[in-house]
Amino acid sequence: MRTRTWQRSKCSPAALLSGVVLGVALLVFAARLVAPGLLLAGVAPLFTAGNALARASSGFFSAFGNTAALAAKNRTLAQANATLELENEALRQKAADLGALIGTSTPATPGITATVLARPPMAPYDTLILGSGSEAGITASMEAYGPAGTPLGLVESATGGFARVRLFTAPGVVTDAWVGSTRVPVTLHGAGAGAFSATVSQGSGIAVGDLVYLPGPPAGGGATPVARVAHIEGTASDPAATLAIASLVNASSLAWVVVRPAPPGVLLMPPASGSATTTAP
Amino acid sequence: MTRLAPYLLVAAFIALFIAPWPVPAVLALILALPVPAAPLALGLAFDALYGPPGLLPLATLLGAFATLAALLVRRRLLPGIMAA
Repeated sequence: MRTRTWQRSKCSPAALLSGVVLGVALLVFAARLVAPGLLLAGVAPLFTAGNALARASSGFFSAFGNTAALAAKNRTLAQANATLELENEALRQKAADLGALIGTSTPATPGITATVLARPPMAPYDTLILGSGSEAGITASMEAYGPAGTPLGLVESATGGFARVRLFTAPGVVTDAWVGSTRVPVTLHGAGAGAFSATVSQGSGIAVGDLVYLPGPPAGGGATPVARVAHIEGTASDPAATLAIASLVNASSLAWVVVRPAPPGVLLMPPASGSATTTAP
Repeated sequence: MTRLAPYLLVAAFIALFIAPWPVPAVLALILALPVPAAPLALGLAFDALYGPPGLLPLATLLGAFATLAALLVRRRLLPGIMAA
């Protein structure tokens, strides 16, 4: 009996599948190089579906919690939120009064609110993919801010409808900052997963729990707390101590960010080694 | 496993968008033997979607390593098992 052409073919199912999947992946890679905006426009519905699925699953699993305990926790959080709102308003008014008295008040630069389509841990490399791009006014080197004006990172690239933000916690990113009430200058090295590391000299007076500050949004009041010292490694006999620093903002839960021009002096400058560096003014 | 491979491949590509990165990574490792190019392909797609420009394509490199290892296993070990 004559065998058919496809029966004579020596192409195994594994080789066929390998070829197909490699072809698809190369197509996606080529799209990223040639038309990155088109690629993101094509996959944006998948990101949206993923976010909706995450919200739905969160609601589903929370239904198994103790209702009474959740209600009590809700009341406590609502009271704490109301107190914080009052304190915030008082501080805002105080800052406005001082600015009017000194005569140095500057109107806040309006920002561009952008939806976060993909965030860690779905998007590794500590990057955010935003649902707004150059059409909304977002350009490279602008700064992204999270809740309460917390600086998060710099815009790396922007296409028509999308933008990529590289967080300050991304590996390879180096940022100048201040630590503690005495504003000890440090250099933060991104360690990934919302963490930084920094090296300071012994006797600098930095303790666990000290806040780490970056320049905040223009006219936002100067230094803004972005992280907290979680652990200090090193003994008293060592000349230097290594700080393990945790970001205050959980990038995994970001739903939106505000993008504004970066404060003067904060630039994304790739040094000779190839890693990115941001320098505070 | 070969019969499930197409479905797992589709699940792995969808997981790139809706699941944390360890999920497609584990699926890529599971698919390495039946579909040796799967780890490399998933790594390429991963870096195409999320990789920042100018940074080392870590997912692609790890996928290529896993693909090479899978090809080595298929070439050396599977014929030995079949011969036995």
